[in-house]
Amino acid sequence: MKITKLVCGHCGTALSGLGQDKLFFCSNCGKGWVLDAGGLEPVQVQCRASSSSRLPLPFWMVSAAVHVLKRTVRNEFTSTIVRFGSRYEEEVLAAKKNETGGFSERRTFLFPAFPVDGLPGTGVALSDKIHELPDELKQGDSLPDICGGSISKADAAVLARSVAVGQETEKADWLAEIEIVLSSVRSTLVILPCSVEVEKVIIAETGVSFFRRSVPDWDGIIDYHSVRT
Amino acid sequence: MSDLLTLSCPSCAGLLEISEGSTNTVCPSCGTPLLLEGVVNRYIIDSSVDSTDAVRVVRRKLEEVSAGVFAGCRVRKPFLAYVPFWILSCRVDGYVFGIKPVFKEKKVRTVSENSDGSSQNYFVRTVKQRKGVRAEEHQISSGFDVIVSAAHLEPLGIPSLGAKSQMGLSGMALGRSGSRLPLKVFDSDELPASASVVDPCVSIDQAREESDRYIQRICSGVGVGLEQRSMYLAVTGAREKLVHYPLWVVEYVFENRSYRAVVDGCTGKLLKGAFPADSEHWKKVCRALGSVWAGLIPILLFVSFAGLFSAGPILMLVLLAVYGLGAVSFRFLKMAKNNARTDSMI
Repeated sequence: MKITKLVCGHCGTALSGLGQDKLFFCSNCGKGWVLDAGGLEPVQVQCRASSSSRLPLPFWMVSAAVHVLKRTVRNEFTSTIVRFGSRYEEEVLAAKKNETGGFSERRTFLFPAFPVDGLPGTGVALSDKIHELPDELKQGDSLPDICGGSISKADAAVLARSVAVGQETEKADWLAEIEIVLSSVRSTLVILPCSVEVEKVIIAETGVSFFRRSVPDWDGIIDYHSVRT
Repeated sequence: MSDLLTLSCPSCAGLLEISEGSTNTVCPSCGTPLLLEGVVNRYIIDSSVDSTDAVRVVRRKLEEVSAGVFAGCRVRKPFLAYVPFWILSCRVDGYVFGIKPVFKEKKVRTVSENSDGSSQNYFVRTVKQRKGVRAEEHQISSGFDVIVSAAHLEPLGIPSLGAKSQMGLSGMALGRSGSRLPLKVFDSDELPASASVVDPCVSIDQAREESDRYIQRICSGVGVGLEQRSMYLAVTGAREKLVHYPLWVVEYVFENRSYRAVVDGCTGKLLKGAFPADSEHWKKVCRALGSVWAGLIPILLFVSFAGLFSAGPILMLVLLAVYGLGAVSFRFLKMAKNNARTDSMI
């Protein structure tokens, strides 16, 4: 195992985080770093939380070309009455599926950069509210400390695909099968202010929330921020 | 127990205690933030039990199942084996799509006729009628620690862990707490001289396949009852490590037969073993029965010579008592014979 000093590759400030973090943010110069197979790599950052924010948390914003190669939906299933004693046959059910043509479009996904139960669902809700995010910090604003970003850049691309599947399930029809591919993926680290209300964590001004008990590293995140403040 | 690794700081050589899977830490001595690159994926867990403790555990079990047998056993020197397990950790997020049948309960009046057709009876049956299907979409989100045996442990009497069985070893700390164990980076120079390390014969690719099958099996449990199921899973945060786990093997000989017991080196619990049958207890039963019959014979002789058999009811009573006692004795002797031959297995 190679042990080196964990410092910002731009200004040399010491970086910190939780033990298993893969994302680091320099609160001095505002540069973001992601731990990859080749060591610390720079990552584009959008900081939308200041040092006075109650709970700044890291999120991945992934922009990608989404290619839906095959999308099969079910229809007429609720009104079907089957004769007493008979069973559905595969052919009958197959006839009740509609395969829609493939399509491609560019989408932007936003989801937590830390493990949370139901992450694709949170990602679907958050991706719909991208336009409601708070503004980026201006130069000279005090930058926050973040921790908990343990989802790597490679895993972010995998999860973005999962969020894309989630978006397809959210449509008014009932999904039966889907083949989906993402290409030209661009990942950005987004720091958003969050607030805790009883059991829920509410993300910025989006109103999207998740339960704090659904975050495995929650105690570590809270301890980190309480020590810093 | 925690999952700590011990390394030293490159700045001050201070001792670093790092959790397994950590990417960074801060030196407690000089406060330098440190980045941990490269993967250490071979670990060992020290045995917290010594050979004397292992023998004591086996002895206690022998006293429990075969009282008094241990005194007659010839115990060979226990040996410590570090057996390998793959621990594969990951997070799974995804969706399961399918259709769920919708049933409606209906009461149906049914007629039954007597065999000769003379009369008819009516009764009401409740039948489930499938009236349609409902499409369903389920979300999956879970963390997994899958343990796969990296060597064939059947010779030790231990069932292998894999896709089909994750809790095959009750009492084993590895099965209960996954990766939350005191891990040390594997260093063959630091092993106890008497210990033997079992080399893995299951490749990481095979372990990954086993793990994938296990995860698929668990995830397919989501949305039970769905038909035409299709599943989409995103596996992230995958980590793999090879852990050498301490097991004490205690061998002993009793009445020219060899027995083997396996003791968990972490918990000190007995995991597997064969124990000789306790024939002493049944010998006592046979002796007691023999004494009863030895005492009965003079009484029977006295009864027959004193001419008491001339009284019909007394004769019947005596014959019934002798028959009952004989049957009970026969049953006990049969049980004694079977038990004296059967070894206890754990």
